[in-house]
Amino acid sequence: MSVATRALAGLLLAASACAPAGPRAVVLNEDQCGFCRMEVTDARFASEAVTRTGKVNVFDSIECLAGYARGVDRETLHGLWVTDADQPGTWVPVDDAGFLRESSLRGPMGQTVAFASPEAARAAQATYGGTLATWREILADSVSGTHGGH
Amino acid sequence: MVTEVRARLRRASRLLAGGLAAVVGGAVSGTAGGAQDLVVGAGARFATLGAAVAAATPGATIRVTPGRYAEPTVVVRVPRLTIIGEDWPRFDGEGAHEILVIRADSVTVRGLEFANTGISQMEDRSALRVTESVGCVLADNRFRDALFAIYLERSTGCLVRGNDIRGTGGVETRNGNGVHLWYSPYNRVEDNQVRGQRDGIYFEFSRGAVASGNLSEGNRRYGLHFMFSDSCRYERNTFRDNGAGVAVMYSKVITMEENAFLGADGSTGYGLLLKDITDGSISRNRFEENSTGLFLEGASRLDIRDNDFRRNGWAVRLMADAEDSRFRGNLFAGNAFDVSTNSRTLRSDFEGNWWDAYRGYDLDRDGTGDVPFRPVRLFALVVEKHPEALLLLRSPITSVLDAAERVFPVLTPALADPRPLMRAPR
Repeated sequence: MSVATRALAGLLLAASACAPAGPRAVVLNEDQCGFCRMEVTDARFASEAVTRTGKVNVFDSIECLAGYARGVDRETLHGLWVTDADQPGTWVPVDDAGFLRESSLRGPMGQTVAFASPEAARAAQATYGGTLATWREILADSVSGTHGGH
Repeated sequence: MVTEVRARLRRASRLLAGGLAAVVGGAVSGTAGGAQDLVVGAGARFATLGAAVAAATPGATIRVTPGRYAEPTVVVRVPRLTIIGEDWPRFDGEGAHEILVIRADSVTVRGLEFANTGISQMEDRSALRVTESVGCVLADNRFRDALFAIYLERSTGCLVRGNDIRGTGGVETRNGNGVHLWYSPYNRVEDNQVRGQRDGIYFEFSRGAVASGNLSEGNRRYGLHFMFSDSCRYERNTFRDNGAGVAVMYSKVITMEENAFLGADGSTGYGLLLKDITDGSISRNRFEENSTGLFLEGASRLDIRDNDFRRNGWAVRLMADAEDSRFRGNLFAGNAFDVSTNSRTLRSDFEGNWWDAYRGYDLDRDGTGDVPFRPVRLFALVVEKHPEALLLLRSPITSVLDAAERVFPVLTPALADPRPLMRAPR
């Protein structure tokens, strides 16, 4: 039953995904991370990549979005979005966002969290500590950077 | 590498033994009259646990009499303290805050009920938190409607045993984990029951952990979850009706024995989900009635032996990048698909397993079939590439495919069990 439902949902999604649009709302506890396969359960860290062909990839964390982005040709991407942790449900293009690393906020794959702007990240830093970063810096991290000390 | 791990394990076991000895010693001296024996309750010397903790000296025992307690978060900074509840006194966070925080070594907390931390969107609010401490014992407590129930951070050599944890089960709101270890190596989690949390038990950046004898049931995401946690072991646990039973991710040398993985039957339901792990062993487990029993992605050099796979949608799904795993003595019965893969070239090896779909013979009577068994159905390959095709599972087309591959087994991957068992091993 559920398998059949899922298959039908897949067909419908395939049919509706014709042109690249923006990111879609994450379905918590249903969507599976396209990189680490964990279920997405924490809206604050949800991230998305949309390809030029309109395929939406959902990720449970900024680390997983970065891991995915490192592995694909940039030309195939329509855009990358992260969640504004101050307002879960609000998407921010990665190049506009401000990031906070190693703060007291613990995400599914590490301690990277995003805000609507570098200024908002700086304001959050006053509360949660950590260091500021840009998307370019996050992307430049080695993969082991997500392992936090291993 | 291995010697380093061993040295760390030895160090941890010494720490654990030391912690337990200190706890036992504290309890004995308390009853002998040497240390303080403080009583908390209505009409007792202390009305609140916080007041008793403030007055306690190292090694003191605090007894909490039955009743309901609602007080600000209590922080323990006194080592070797023993806090014992009589008939589960209930500590209520009133939906607003953490309840008990341990910041001292060799503290024991036993027989308390923790309730109602409320939900925080930003902090990992926990009913009972242990921070930067060694050798603590958290035993026989109850947790009701906590965001996180027990949270160990940068703590080691602790024992979490016999706790009864029931979360909110909330789907829409934020939900935390039952027992969470964060950067906390060499702890033991035994004989707990966890229901209605996000993950029942979660080891994150925590090597050398042991989970045994736990029941993890009806949790939203995983019954047990490993992330970046090497050299761990889990055994004799039951995982039932969780989003997925167990997920082991980005970890090395995990030993998994005699567990039951039951009823993970959602669309992303896995009994056991392996993602980027190496050098583990999976033996004598039961996988029953899961959408997928065992899922391997980026998993290599695993020894998978003497497990029972019964009545799963897929018993085993091997992704293309899973390699060098050995399947021996496993039993496959009543699964829609025994083995599936998205690859034509498989680099794992199956030998001496029992397959209920095997139709071969044993003329030389050595107990194994004389013709190989090919467990990957052609239709399983189609479904891996096009999940929607699953609608055709019971259709005549599928039967034709099955018949075709029996006659011309060139289409399916090279994967075969050259010596399938003639009789079920168990």
